[in-house]
Amino acid sequence: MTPLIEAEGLAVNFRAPGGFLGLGHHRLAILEDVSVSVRPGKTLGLVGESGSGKTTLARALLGLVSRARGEIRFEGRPVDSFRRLRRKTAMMFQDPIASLSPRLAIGSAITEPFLIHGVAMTSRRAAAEELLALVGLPKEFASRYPHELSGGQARRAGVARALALRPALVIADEPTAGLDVSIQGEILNLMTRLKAELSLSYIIVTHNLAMIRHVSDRIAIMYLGRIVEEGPTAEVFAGARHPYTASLIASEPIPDPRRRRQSLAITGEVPSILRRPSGCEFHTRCPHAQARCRSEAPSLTKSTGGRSVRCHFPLNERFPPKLSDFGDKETRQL
Amino acid sequence: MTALLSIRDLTIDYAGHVQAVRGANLDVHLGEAVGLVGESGSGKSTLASAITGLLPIGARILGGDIAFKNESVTSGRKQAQQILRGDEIAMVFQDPMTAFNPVLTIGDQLVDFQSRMPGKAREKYARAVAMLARVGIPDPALRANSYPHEMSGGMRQRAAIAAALLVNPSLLIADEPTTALDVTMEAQIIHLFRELRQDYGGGILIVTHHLGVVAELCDRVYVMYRGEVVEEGAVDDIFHEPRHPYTRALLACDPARLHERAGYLPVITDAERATFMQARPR
Ligand SMILES: Nc1ncnc2c1ncn2[C@@H]1O[C@H](COP(=O)(O)OP(=O)(O)OP(=O)(O)O)[C@@H](O)[C@H]1O
Ligand SMILES: Nc1ncnc2c1ncn2[C@@H]1O[C@H](COP(=O)(O)OP(=O)(O)O)[C@@H](O)[C@H]1O
Ligand code: SF4
Ligand SMILES: [Mg+2]
Ligand SMILES: [Mg+2]
Repeated sequence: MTPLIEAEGLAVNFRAPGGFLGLGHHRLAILEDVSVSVRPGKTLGLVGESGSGKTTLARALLGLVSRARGEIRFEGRPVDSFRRLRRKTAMMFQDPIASLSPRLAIGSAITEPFLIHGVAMTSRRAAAEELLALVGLPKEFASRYPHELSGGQARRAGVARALALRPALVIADEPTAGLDVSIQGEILNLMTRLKAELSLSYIIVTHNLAMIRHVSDRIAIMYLGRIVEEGPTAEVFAGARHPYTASLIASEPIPDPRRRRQSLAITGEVPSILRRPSGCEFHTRCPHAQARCRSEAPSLTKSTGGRSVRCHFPLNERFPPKLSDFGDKETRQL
Repeated sequence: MTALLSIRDLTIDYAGHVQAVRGANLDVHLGEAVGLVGESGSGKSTLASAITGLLPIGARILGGDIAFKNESVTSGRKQAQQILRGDEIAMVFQDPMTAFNPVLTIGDQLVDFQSRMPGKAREKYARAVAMLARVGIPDPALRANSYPHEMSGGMRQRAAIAAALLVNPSLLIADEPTTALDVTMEAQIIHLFRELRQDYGGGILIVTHHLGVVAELCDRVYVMYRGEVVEEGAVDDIFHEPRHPYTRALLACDPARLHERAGYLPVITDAERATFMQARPR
C-alpha cells in the first residue's frame, strides 16, 4: 500500500547562534538524513529525549520549517506546495492551553480551521457543537475559555480542532504530557476510536514509552536529529537493536517495588547540537562503544523483520537474543 | 519510634472552594522515604506546602495539627515558616527554574542558601561546589559559574537538590521532582535520591503522581484521593496488596503495568469514582 505520507533524506538547518566560540558554523544541522513513512490507518510513534528534533520533524513534514534537503511525498505524490497536504493534515500542539488563544471561546477556536482554509460550514455554531460531540464534550463548552478547562478537557478541545476539516493525518505532539494516567487513557482511547471511525492516521510525538508502546504500530527513535532505530513497535520493545533504544526502555521506572533497578541504563546528558560528537553521535553515552564508533558514523541500515538501525554493532540480531542484549546489569526480568 | 513529622486530622480549604485536604494523617520518620501519590488536584501539593508553611494566599488550615520533632507548627510559637527558614525542612519543586534567581550564578545562590550556617564565604563556596559534585554535576567548579538558564532541566534539578541538601535539613520534601524531566533524566534523579539516602539520615517525602517513581524510591506510601488519604502502607503492600478501590484502580490504569499491548487503555470510570469516597479499606 502506498504510504499516506513519506519523507526521505530530510535535513533541516537552523542558523547557529552568532559566532559561537569561533566555531565558524553558520548553519546548525537540526535534522539529518531523516526518513519516515506512515501507511493509511496506522500510527507512527516518534520517540526521543527533549531536543532530539521530534517537534522540528513534525513541523518540517507540514512545511512549517524549510528543509535543506530531502523529499516529502503525500498520497504518493511529491509535495512542493504544502497547501493540499496542510488541508488534509492537522497538528495538535505540545501545550494545548497555550496553543488555544486565551481570548477565543472554545467554539470559535475549534472551528477556526474552517476560516483559515476558507472551507464553508452551515453555521459556525452547528459545526462547533458537532465537533464537541465528536470528542465527548458537552455543547455548553462552546462558550467557555481555555483557562476554564481542565488539562484533559483542553486536550479534547485540541482533538476537536484537529479534526475540524476531517484530515487524513493527525500529528499529535505530546498529546498526553502532564495528564494523570486515567485521563491520559481517556484521551488515547478517544483518539483510537476516532481513528477507526474517521479512517485517520497518526504521528504521535512523545517521550512517554509506556504510553507509545500501546498506541503505535511502528516507532522511530530519534537522537540528536537522526533516526537511530525504526520498526514495528512490539518487536522493538521485545528486542531493541540500537543501544540507545535499549537504554531508553531500561530507563522507564517500573511500577513494582520488587523490580527496582540497581544501576543506571544510561548516564550523562544528550550532547549539545553545537558540539556533536564525532563518529556515532551516541558513543559518548553508549555502553557498547568501541574504537570504530568514535571515528566512523554508522548509517541507517535495513535489518531483518522490516526494521532499521543506525549502529555498527546492533543488539539482538542473533536469535534467540541474549539477556545481556537488553542493557547491562539490569535486574529487571524480561 | 516518634515521628520526625506527624500530621493529624489536617483539614485545609481555599476560600470559597471545596476542602483541598480533609482529615489527613501522615508520618515521616528519620531515615525513611515516604511517597504521597494521587491524581492531579487530589491535594498533594496543598498538604506539602502546609508542612513548610508555604500555603498559597487564600488557603486556611481549618483543623488538625502538624508536628515537627514533637512541636506543633500549626499552633504555638514555632511557626512553620521559621522552621523552614531555620533550615530544618527543605523543599524541591517540579520546575527547578523557580528555585533559582535567573540573574545570579548557581554558585553564588548556593552560598546565599547557607546564610544561616557558620563559615566564611569562601568555605561556603567550596561547600557549594562539593555539593554540586555530590549530586553528580560534571565540572562542578565550572558549573558553579553558570546561570540557571545555561543548564539543562535535569542539571537544574540536580542543582536544586544540592541547594536543598546544603542546609542539612532533617526533612526533605520533593514535590513532583521528576515530572518535568525526560525518562533518562528521571532515572538519574531517582538514582541520585537513592544514593543520597546512604549518607543523608533525614526523612524524605516524595510527592508525585508517577507510580514508577514511588515504587523505585519509597519505603512507605500514602494515597490521596479528592483531599483524603484513602490508604497508607508499606510500598510492597500498596503495589501488591492494595486495599482501597481507588489504589487498585490507579494501579490498574498505569500503562507501564500492562504486559500485553492494549488496544484501549484502562481508565477510571465515573461509576467507579462514585464508589471511592464511601469505601474504607478493611
Ligand atoms: N527556531 C529554532 N532556532 C534554533 N534552534 C532551534 C529552533 N527550534 C528548535 N531548535 C533546536 O532544535 C533542536 C530540536 O528541537 P525540537 O523542538 O524539535 O525538539 P523536541 O524533540 O521536540 O524536544 P521536546 O521533547 O523538548 O519537545 C533543539 O536542539 C532545539 O534547541
Ligand atoms: N491557590 C489555589 N486557590 C484555589 N484553589 C486551589 C489553589 N491551589 C490548589 N487549589 C485546589 O485545591 C485542590 C488540591 O490541589 P493541589 O494541592 O494542587 O493538588 P495536587 O498537588 O494533588 O495536584 C484542587 O481542587 C485545586 O484546584
Ligand atoms: S555505533 Fe557504536 S557507539 Fe554507536 S550505538 Fe552502535 S555500538 Fe554504540
Ligand atoms: Mg517538542
Ligand atoms: Mg501538585
